[in-house]
Amino acid sequence: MRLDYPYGLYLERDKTISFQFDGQVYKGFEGDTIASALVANRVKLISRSFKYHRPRGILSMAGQDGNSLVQVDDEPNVRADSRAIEEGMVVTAQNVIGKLHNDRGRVVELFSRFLPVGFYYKAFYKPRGAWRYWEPVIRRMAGLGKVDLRSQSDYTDKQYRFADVAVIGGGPAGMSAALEAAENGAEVLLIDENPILGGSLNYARFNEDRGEIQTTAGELIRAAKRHSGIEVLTNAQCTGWFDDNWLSILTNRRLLKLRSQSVVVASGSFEQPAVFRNNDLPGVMLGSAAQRLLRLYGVKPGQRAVVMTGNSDGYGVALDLFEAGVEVASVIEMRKGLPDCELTQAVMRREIEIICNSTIHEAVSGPGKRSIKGVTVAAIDGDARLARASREISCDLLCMSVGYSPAAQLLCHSGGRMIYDEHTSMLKVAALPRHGGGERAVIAGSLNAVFDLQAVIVDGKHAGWAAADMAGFNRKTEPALPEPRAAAGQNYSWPIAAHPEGKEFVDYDEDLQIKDIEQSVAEGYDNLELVKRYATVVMGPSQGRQSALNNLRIATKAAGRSLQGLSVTTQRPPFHPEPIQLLAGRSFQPVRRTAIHHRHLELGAEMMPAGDWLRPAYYGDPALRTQLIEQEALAIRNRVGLIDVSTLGKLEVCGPDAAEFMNRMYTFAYLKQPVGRLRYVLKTDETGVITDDGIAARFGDDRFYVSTTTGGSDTVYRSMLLWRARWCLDVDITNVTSAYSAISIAGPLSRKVLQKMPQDMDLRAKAFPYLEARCGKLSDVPVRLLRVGFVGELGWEIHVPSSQAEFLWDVLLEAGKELACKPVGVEAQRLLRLEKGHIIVGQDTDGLTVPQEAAMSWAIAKKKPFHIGKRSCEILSAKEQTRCLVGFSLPAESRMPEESNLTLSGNDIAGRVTSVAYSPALRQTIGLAYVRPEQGDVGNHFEIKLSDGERIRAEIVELPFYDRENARQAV
Amino acid sequence: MTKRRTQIYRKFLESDFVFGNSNGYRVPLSMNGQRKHDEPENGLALCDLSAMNRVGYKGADVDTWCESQHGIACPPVNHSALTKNGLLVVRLSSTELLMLEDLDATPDFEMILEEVPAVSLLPRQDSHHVFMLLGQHCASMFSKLCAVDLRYHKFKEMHVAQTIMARVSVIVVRCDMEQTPAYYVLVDSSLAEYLWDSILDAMHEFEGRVVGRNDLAGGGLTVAGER
Repeated sequence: MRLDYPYGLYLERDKTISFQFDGQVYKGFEGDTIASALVANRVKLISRSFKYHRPRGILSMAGQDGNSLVQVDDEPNVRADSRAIEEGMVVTAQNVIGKLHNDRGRVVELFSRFLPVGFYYKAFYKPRGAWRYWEPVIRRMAGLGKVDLRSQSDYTDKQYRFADVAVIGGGPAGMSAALEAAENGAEVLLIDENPILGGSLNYARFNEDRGEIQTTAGELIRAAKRHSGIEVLTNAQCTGWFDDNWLSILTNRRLLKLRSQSVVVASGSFEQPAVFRNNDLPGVMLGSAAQRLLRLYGVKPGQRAVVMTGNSDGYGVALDLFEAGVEVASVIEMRKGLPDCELTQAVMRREIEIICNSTIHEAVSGPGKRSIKGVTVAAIDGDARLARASREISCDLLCMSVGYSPAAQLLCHSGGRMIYDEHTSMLKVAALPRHGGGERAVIAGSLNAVFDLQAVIVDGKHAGWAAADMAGFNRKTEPALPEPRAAAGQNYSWPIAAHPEGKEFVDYDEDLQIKDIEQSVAEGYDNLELVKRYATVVMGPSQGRQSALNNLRIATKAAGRSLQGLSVTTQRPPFHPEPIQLLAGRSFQPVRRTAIHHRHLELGAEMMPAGDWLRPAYYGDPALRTQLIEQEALAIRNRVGLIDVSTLGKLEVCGPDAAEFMNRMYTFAYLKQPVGRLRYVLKTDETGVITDDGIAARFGDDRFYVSTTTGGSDTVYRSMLLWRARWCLDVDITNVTSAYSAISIAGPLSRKVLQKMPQDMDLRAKAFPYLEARCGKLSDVPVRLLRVGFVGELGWEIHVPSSQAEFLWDVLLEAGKELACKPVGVEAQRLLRLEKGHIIVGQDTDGLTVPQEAAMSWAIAKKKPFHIGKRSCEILSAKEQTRCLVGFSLPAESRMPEESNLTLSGNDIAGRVTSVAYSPALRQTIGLAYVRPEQGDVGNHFEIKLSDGERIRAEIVELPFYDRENARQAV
Repeated sequence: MTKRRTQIYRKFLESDFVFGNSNGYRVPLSMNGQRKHDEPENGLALCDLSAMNRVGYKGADVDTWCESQHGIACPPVNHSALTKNGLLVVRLSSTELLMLEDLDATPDFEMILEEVPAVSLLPRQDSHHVFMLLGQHCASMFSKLCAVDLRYHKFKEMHVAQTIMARVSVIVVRCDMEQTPAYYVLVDSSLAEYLWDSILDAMHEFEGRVVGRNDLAGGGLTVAGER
């Protein structure tokens, strides 16, 4: 079956490759696809169809149909006609019950009369609940390969690319366009899905003298490769076209995200099959598929061929087959008379029989329908009606050349449109995408309904010039457009021959026959989009490449409408199948680390996420988690501990209007906040909902240093910028979250630790009281000391330039060593603040919580005229409250609820538990929860519904749970 | 150990680097046995310059201030300029400047800080880390991380991009070293380790490598300079 050079353009014949298919070992050459190597080994049966398990072989040989789907190792749905063979590759058939040659699933076809179109919709929806039993059965039947859940993911990534002009398609039109655009000064990226440039020049027969074609191809390919303004990407598939000329391009290991100023689409056309009985069997293929096998892979597609044609290209196919040594039994010409063209003359000179005004009535199947042994021919009688089949011709190969459909999917992704033109019997591009308010796309070649080779080259050249001009490059004058030549004659108007016994397939993917399309229309689904969904036509792996046009013809005729101006169904990305691993690629997951992060790890911290940050949850063995958290909490209650609180947001608010700005942003009063004092900040939005909190230190009349929650820094910062602009206040806002790290030192011995260190501040209680702030130096490190009490003990937040934070942490730990100072994690910190009844915004509040519900009314300055959300807070205060946050405790024997467990009022939901923990200091379980206002008095009891449904009783207690006089933090 | 530390100093400790003190930091100066620039694989290098002095200035009068203090016209937004005493002035917005000590000069940074009204200082020394990438493969490497076209003929010398790289905000300044394309990349300090690792991963296919500060300065450049 192999042909010598110059056949087999893609082959490296000195490199033999062995691979397995369906359990047998085969040999091919480097450059072979799985399908070409199989045909070279006389294997025609590649797969089984989706529904009836009919035998299928090569159809397009271009990776554009669903007939060639196979499993390669652990990868399903590989297209055998485009995947190159590799040494040791194991290829298996998909959708097979048993063996490919003897598929037990073939039995389904015997019941095909009971499986009409829409069968699924009619059969499985009742009785109610039946679908759940049918679904696994159907899923098992409708296999499209097997995903190996154990397979390891490979490293793939993504890359942005840029070009002035992107040219999709490396055929004669694309290469001409790229050259012209580059000559005009544009930077061009030329993208082609094949291993080498050339497109149809590499396999098609434009005229009798093939040497002329090869010369043209060689010249164009050399020029494109050598041009410094052109970058060539082969083996690359453009899969989608999105806004602003954003093109997604698949390569073997990488997804490219190309942004170009303009785009030339020269993606060519898809050859279309004819519709007749058994048109799907192995041995029936598109004419271009046979030519690809010959020219690209050096493989004879059969021994004795019949060519069915409705255009001049069929004669090129016959000529190619003849010259390659395939016996051409007949050319079945669907038109009434012989076309007067060079290729027809060449065929006639070779004394090949031509039967005019006829069509294939049926492909006669060989054993097991795994091949064909001949065709029956019928005369065409009048308006697409058939006379009775009059003749049978024996053959093992039937090539179809009856027309094309433009490969315009990319255009349609981005706003382009195709319509049917009755004059040419073709779909044609009727509208191009427009981006940025202007034209940014040009089409060329057969996509533009230009088929004559010289005209294609001229058309491509003009497209290249136009695209360069759109991108702002116009060194040269506008080249001529090709002579307007009608594409009439490329497509036969009705390549459809109904057969009394059916099995004329319109859609190979879904095993849909003429009667299925007609039945859909008869049942009322007479709109093409409805036919698509009801019959599932054009919804299979080939996405209508070979079925959309014939489906349009059949459905429109059945509906009694005119084809002129009609469009096909919506085209959506991706144009080619996209492996999920390429889409996933290398994902970026930013993680923020504090300056002390690695020290925490060295101290044995178990890290936990907190927004984008990583924070130490606790220090030590996870198996001892609970004890460790309790020990850390007790360390702060009894001695001293250090907590890394660098993740808190930190903002500088500076300028003459800083105090006024703060006064408007936050609920408290800040105009008269003394310099050196701290004040709590609570932020509400316009609807009065709590959005953030923190503290504000006033370091000057015009300077505030404000903290936010860990997750709130960016949001608060953005909000501040917005409101500053609206209010036109003279204030600068800077986000210094990462510039400053913060270490909280807390516990009754914390002052002693600081006093052991070299420092220039008077830390005694009178000189540095609670809620005051100072700037100074600790161990010669510049610091901002804020005396706060989030955990309810004597303590400070030490804010330090991040580059010196790790040093200061070390010094603090060393200074506290004799006092048993411990590093303390977030979990213990949360427990300690719960003991003090301090809320965490986002945990003890939600997206609807207003201050009065969270018992935060004390943080609202009533007398000031404005703060964001003030009016809403006032309106809501005047309304009846629906919930309130309370502290609760549980009896010692009670089970521990979880956060978000429901609180009840009778059998009604009253609210939820927001925080709960066992307090080692209080020796009982405490928590915060929302309950109904009428339940909220201290001493009342309410029920909590646990996750398993059990109800427990909780008692409402006064807040704070610990140190009600707040004496410990003020010492 | 010095008081000041970058967020990625540990990454150098196990490497064969020669260390020195600079600006209060302990910094990797050069790698022992560094390969020389005539080796073809030396086309991409990454250097941590976070010890380098830098500061931000924010205010309505940056144009006037820049001209009066440094004798140069303030560059347009998203451009940079070098002062006579070797300070790289990066214009981030109409009211904001970033100033970096240039590698080849050592301006009196303390003096510069004193010149600036305190209200307008931005603590860029601690808020951001500074990396330098240089070599002929820089643009290709960047295209794996960043959607902005940073190729040499599109993103010219002294241009500035405030963009996203590996999903984090960065400031990119192109400031070539003689004939070698070179880019400063400034990133939020808390994300410095993440971005460093992301860049290293992206550099892998170009056989990029980490170099010390001395490998960059004083003609000791060890990456190919072809653009």
